[in-house]
Amino acid sequence: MRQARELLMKGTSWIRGHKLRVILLSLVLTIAAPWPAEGQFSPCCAILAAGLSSISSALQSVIGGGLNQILGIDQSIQQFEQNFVWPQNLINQARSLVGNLQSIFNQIQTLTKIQVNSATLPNAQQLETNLLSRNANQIAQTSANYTALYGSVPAATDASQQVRDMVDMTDAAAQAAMKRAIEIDARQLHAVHTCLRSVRIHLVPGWAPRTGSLAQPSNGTTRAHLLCESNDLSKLGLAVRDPPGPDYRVADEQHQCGVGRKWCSQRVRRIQPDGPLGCSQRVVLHRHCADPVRGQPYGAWGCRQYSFCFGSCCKPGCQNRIQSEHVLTSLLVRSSPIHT
Amino acid sequence: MHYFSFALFALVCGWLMLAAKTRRQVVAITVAGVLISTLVIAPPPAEAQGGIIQAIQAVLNVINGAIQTGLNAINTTRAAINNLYQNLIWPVQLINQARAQVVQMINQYRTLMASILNIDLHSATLATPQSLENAIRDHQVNNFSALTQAFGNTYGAIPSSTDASQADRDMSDLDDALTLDSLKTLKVSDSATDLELQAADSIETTAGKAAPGSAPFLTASAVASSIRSQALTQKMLAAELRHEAAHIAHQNGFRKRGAAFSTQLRGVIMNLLQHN
Repeated sequence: MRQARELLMKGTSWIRGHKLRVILLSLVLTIAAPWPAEGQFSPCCAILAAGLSSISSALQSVIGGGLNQILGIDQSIQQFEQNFVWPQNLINQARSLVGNLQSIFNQIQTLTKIQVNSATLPNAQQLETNLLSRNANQIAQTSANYTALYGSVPAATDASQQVRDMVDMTDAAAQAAMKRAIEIDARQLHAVHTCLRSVRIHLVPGWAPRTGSLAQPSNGTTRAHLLCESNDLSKLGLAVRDPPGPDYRVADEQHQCGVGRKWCSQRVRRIQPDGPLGCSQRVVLHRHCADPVRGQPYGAWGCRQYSFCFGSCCKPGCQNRIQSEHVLTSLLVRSSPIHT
Repeated sequence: MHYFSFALFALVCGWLMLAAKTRRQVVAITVAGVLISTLVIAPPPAEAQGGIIQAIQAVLNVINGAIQTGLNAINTTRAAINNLYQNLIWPVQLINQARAQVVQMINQYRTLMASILNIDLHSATLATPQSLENAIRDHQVNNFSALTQAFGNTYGAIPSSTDASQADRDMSDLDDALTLDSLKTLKVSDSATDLELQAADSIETTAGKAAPGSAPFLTASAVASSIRSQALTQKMLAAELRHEAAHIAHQNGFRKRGAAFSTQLRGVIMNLLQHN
């Protein structure tokens, strides 16, 4: 304390002795001292504030108002879509319906697999097993089994040429009908199950459901489309696809049974509206379908109409071939008594 | 930063003032300090704010011009889309009308169709055929043995090997087998048809409450059901084809056996003639 007082006394005496230096030093330091920033009340800042206020009010009125109007319309659209177009409860209801139908279809599939063989004697059993095999590869065995049971064409020494021709033709018709029956069984097992498992649903109204994927054997000119190819999966968006059920296994097994048969995929024509809005017609499977079955969507929104191919994805004439086979055998059945 | 520079400057300047010997040095230090503080330490003057009004006006012009026009256009378009949705694509009135129509069709046809499908077709009068007919028409798939039994009772069993030739027995067996196959397939088809009808009723009922968004599910279900139905039809068609094929094969077998019998008869006659 004492030292400080002495130091203060010394400083005071030095300042009294060097008044000019102190004054000049104070002047320099005063000049060099950092001054506080200017306040925001200058005219320039007032202009800036007024401008920003104008911009703010313009943003609120022009942009905010416009966006609010758009928001109102969007909310209206959203409410409309949620309440009338895609109501959640109805979509869930439809989904549960699909689940129930899947169960029913599985039961039907089980029914169609029930064995109905009934023959008791070896030759008849052999032919019957062949006829009910549902396997197109077994068609090659049909003629041999048929001959084992019904006999062959009489030798030239046993019958006239006319009778032999008639017998041969009738045998041919009967065998063709049997082979066709095997083919039908095989085809419906292949195609129906394969098509059904890939029925897809597009949630956007106006998109028809599609059965995916048709395919045909590249070396078979007489066979119809059997298997199917996934088509445009990436474009389905919110598509819902039936889970692969037991059909998968059956179809795959049948597919593998086609030894020596080379399958190539065939792209399904993409569904496009070909009419004005509200009255559009779409082709679901193949345009070259012989007997398209026209389906009216339930609810008939805007009179839309979907057409889809006759079951089993027939190529043109597939159904007609069955019918012609049937007519041929019927004619032979009716004509036989006259000739015999 | 400014305060640090000022403190440094004050220390240096104060030390020089203390160290100055003459008045001339004091004046020189003062002048140097003033110059340094003015030129180096003092902050640069702020720039003038002359262009701010133009800038603000430009921003306001953009907001009131391009942005407002764009928002108005978006608003108009969205409103048009909203009208299109509500008036043309999914008019609520027509949706309700379609639902009502589905319900009306259900009320009008379902019971009627059910009664038609359930008409009793039984026609046999005797006990044995009645038993067979009952087995054929019962829509059950778990009584094939009863069907076979009833069929055998009605049409008889295959002749024993002592009563008929092997060829006749084989052909009779296959005829009976294919007939039984067709009858069994018929029972399967009847049972499957019941399920199909059940599915159809479900689809129909749900359609009465459907919305445009749920319609694709129903349409897909209907497509699947239709394909199933077609497959069943084809299955029955295949059975009928087999049956008719067996029929003409059987008749053709008669021709073949006729030829064989003719040959045998010719041989017998030749033998007789030779013996005579």
